[in-house]
Amino acid sequence: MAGVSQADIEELYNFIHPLAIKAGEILMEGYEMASKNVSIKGDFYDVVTDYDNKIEDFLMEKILARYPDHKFIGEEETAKNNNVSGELTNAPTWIIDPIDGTSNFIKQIPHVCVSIGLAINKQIVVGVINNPVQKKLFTTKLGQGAFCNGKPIHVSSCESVKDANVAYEVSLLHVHSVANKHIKRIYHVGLNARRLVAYSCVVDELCMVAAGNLDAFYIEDMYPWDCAAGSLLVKEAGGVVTHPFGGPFDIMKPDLICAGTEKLRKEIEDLLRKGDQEESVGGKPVQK
Amino acid sequence: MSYRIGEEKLEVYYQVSLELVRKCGPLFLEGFQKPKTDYEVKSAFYDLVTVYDKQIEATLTDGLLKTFPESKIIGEEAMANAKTPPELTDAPTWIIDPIDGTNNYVRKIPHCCISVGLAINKELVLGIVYNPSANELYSAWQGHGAYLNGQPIEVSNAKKINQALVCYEISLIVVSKGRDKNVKRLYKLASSATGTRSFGCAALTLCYIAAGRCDAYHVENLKPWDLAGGAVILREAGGRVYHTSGARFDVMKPDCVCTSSEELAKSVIQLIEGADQISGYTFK
Repeated sequence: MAGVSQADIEELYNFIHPLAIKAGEILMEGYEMASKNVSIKGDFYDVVTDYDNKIEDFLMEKILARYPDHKFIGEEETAKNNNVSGELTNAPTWIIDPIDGTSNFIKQIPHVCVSIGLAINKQIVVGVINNPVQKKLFTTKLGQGAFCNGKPIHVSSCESVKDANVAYEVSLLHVHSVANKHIKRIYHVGLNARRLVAYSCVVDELCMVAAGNLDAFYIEDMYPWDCAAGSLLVKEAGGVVTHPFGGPFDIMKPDLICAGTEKLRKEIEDLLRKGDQEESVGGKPVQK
Repeated sequence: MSYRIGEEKLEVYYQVSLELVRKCGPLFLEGFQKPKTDYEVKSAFYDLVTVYDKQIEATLTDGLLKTFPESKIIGEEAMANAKTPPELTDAPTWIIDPIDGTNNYVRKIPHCCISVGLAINKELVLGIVYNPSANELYSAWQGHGAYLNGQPIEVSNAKKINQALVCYEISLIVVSKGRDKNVKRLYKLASSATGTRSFGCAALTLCYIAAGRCDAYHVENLKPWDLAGGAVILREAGGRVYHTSGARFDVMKPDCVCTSSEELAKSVIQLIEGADQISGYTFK
């Protein structure tokens, strides 16, 4: 198909913007309700699934009504139809995470986002991310900068890991097949960084790098919908987004380091490599 | 001497301190929301925080001493230049952190707060933790439950580590003397828990457990003012606060394990003991 024009991007952005706001309202409805089921574990997860589906169904329905030939790559697949795709093609493809940070959503921890990215010709061209709990709407269009609530945002200028606030998904230590790898990496990054934080909401952590609240973020083993919109936001905010070992970021296998500067990104890459070179922290196997 | 404080007096302490803390909200937000361009130079960044730290602490200290001239103050800023560690006596003593989570405050991350605790006869009896950036005011006084914006809060039902969301200050890895210990403990706790968070603000983390958002927290090498306010709120919400060893919590040496339940506290303490026995780590 033909290359996408700025007018097309503008139209698609103007279309999705109010829908992202509405999706955020649906999310807040569930977020505020979650605590009412605090003592009944089964209802916890019913609430999440219910609202995940409600938001995704709402967005898909609106998008298909206007653009019936568009495709979707999304976390929930209850709406199984011809428009849901397992691979990214040149067709306009919406990459949606209706609720990122579901474990935070359940607990009312304020790192929860609706993330909507649009790819055309396999390139993300529009991103809209709503963190309604924090009343932050992040928006970006290819080549036109990054914004939060309409105001321009920019990454930090931090160039050295010793000054850096870095987000690392420490919860990955819970996954035993990768726990050893991550404790070694955490050791080396943590040893050298000014500070490590962990919020378990990939989308929000990308937004926080884009806005300069954090200096860098590293993550692996996530999904396209976790990173699609946020990766464009970081780049449009002046940051860098690469594969952890320096290659190009791949939206369909979105392992990444993102940072405010290339210098900082490289330092973190080097620390990850250093961690991987050890048998365990200090050189001996970690005991369980 | 020992101080006898009746319920009525305790409630007065609560109402007056609550109002003072609330009054500091606008000042706190003024610093939190200050546009970045106002202070590009890094040293100015932190100089600015010191200004707000000092102003908030002065507002609280002056207000409390004016109404309760018999009380003492242990405050972060006041202690900053002290040559000797603070001493806790039987006198009513306000333990104040004007901005807990300073790094978050500077970076506009909404996990930062004003924390005030009151100890009488060396026992913590009152706690107020206010996060204006999220419009959350946590409060509690002994025997009267814990509240968030006036609504009662209570801890979660989590009793087993494999259903618990654990909080840990990962940044403690940076402190060389605690490095090996913290890496092993982090590994043990995170690999056993259902999820791990690191918010960078001790007082709020205790409040998040009190509100049932998180279930457990372990931290060491902090100061009394980091934990005093939150500890009362957590206990009044039904949670547990212990010294890391399982012994009684000492606010003046506040290495701690904080949890939603007794059972979970025991599990966390056992995991830490197990972590401390892991050999085979060597550090350069």
